[in-house]
Amino acid sequence: MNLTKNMFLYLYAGIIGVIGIFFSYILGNIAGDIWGLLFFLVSFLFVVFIIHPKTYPWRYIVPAFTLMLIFMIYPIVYTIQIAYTNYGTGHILTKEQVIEQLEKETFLPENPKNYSYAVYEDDKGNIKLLFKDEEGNIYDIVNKKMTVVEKGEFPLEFEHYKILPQEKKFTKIGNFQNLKIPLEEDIFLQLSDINHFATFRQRYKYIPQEDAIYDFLNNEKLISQKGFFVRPNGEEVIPGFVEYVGWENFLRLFKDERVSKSFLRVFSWTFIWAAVTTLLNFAVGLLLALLMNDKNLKFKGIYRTLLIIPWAIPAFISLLVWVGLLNTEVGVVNRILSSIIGVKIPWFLDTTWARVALFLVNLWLGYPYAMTVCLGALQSIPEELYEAAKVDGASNFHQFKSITLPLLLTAIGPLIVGTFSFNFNNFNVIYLLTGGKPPMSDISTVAGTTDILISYTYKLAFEGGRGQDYGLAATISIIVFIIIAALSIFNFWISGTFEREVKYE
Amino acid sequence: MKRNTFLKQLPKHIIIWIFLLFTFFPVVWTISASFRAGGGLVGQKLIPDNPTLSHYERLGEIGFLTWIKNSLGVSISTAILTVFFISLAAYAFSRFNFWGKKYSLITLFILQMFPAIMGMVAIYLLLYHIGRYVPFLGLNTLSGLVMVYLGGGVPYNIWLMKGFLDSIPDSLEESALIDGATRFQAYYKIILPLSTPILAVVAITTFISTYSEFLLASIVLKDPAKYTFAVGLRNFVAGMYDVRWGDFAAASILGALPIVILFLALQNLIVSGLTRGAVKE
Repeated sequence: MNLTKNMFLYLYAGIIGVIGIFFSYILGNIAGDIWGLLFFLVSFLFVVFIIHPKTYPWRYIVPAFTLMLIFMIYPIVYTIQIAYTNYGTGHILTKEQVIEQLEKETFLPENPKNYSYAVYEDDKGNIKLLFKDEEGNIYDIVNKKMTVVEKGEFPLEFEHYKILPQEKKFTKIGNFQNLKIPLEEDIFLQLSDINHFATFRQRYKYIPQEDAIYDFLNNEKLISQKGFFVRPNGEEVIPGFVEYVGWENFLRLFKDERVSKSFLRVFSWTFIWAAVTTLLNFAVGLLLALLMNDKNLKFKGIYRTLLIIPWAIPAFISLLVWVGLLNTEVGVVNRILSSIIGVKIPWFLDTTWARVALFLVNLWLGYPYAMTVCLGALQSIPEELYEAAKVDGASNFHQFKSITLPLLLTAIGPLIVGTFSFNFNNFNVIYLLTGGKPPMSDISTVAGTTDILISYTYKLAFEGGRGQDYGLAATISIIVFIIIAALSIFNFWISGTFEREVKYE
Repeated sequence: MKRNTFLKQLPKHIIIWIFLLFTFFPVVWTISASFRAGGGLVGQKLIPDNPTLSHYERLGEIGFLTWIKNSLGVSISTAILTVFFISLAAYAFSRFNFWGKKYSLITLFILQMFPAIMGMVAIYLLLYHIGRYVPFLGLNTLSGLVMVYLGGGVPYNIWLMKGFLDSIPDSLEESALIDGATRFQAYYKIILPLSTPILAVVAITTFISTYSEFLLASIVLKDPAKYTFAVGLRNFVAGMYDVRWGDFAAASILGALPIVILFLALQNLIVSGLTRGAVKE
């Protein structure tokens, strides 16, 4: 009994350990060795926690926390890291990878040595090349050195290889086109024309002391600058590499005209959007809740169920339906409007109307939630308060002002702030309904006039017309993080939730 | 007398009816479009002239069944795994005092404020790299998507479930422990059965939110055969309303129906889970 139990325990610890080592390796590769090491230490701690009897409760927690670490906390940390880099189209590889790639490039120097060649094949299909210079020396390549093996004509047989006749030789040429046979001193033998190999030289060489690359073809030094190796004449060598750029992405948001104009517009619209839509939804929700909070109201149960339906339908479906209904030319809404008042509203073509459409559709999506929480809060207000007020002769309006509203707001205040945060990041509504459109006519940017920060981030990272800009996208994510965190702290502060939950639960 | 109260309430009913009209406007038009002969938006009438089931019959051709299969696969596995991992962790947080508890709880509390979509760039790159070593967890895989959903739901659900477990008295377990049960037996023989309501809330809300999730799915899934319903439906209809409106309507209705029924049938359970804190104490 005890033995099997221990076996399970060690098996469990072993699995967590293996996952830990594996992900440390991956995270180390993506984000740098520090993160890999950190994750390794955490998973090592987890393994100890599992085995050690004193930390018994952690046995229940480790699986959930491992998942959360990899797929939630790590992406947050990594986002912060990306924000300080130039990661994006043109800057995907690491510097080491770019250097490796450049150092593979070769060029034909002014006075190369030319060799004709013969192709040999053995019975197993292995291929061998021999080379002949202009004096008739025949060479084989051994350990990066050209060694003379014959003089005069190519032999018909060499070791266990047999020569291929001329016409068969050219069928193999495809194999040699990208072949680089390394010799000493950074020289390579490469095919120069169909009949000849020539000595090519390695074109670029990295000089670690100077953090520069030397170009032997043009005899110039390329310095590493802003994610590129740059020639003295200012030309950047493609591809660029990922590099830390410090606060540059943050500065771009405010100082770089191409980015800052659109960013500031998106930023202010995000606040307007979240504030207006939240208040609108709660105003309507409260109105309906007040109407329904009447014991004598007929069909109350049915009304409630029917009014809650927009909440029950997956939002993406409703949003896609609304896009069709609001179609400017042939949508049902405009057809009804034009038959009644003779006007077709350009719902998605005009900024103001697109915003109205967003408010209306989000009202449709959001009022059931607002109504439900208002109703719940109203019902929790003790009846005696109203009776006492009646006895004192307070009017209906007075009761509402002095009893209902204050008590209601204390109960739902934190939820209003929470809804604000939710709408602040309500990607689905914006992206699926308007897609951020219409575009900003006066600036060249991926952002449209109805884009909010989170949809702007998405476009920068995954839909950029001029390539992806992960660095800038991550930077905007961080700004969103900060705003949401500030809102949440404010929320705890006004509601005292945090103290209550941590202390008593 | 009775008539009198109804008349007095009439304004209330009228206002509510206006909102009912607003609420059902898109629903009714979608239902009507799904039965209408012909595919486009042009000239749609509320009651279609020649009602037909042809849009429903074509659903297989447009990939609807694949999307639903993928969506159900992802949502059900996310829901089950979430319940499994969360109930274990929440139990420990509710029942034990241990090193690191307080700070873990605070961390979870802060983390639950951040929706997973804010780390979307990093999630994309993470899955890309994972996929190079473990293909079945990489980009364009449903299991990779499940992992992302699982990780993102941990903090909120632990708090949610812990709150419920705290309300189950310790005495029940204690007597079992005295009778010689191990801690783990006490957990799955006593606590788990008692916490069925909260397990159901976590499972159902996870199921529904996963089924409705669009952003992460659209980042992770690129191959049409892997699309979930949200991604598939959107890519099917985007820019093609003029010709695909009818098929789209049919797909929307069939795709939404199970969720609507589930939601309405269990509305009290779900609403109490989703509005936690609103009507507390």
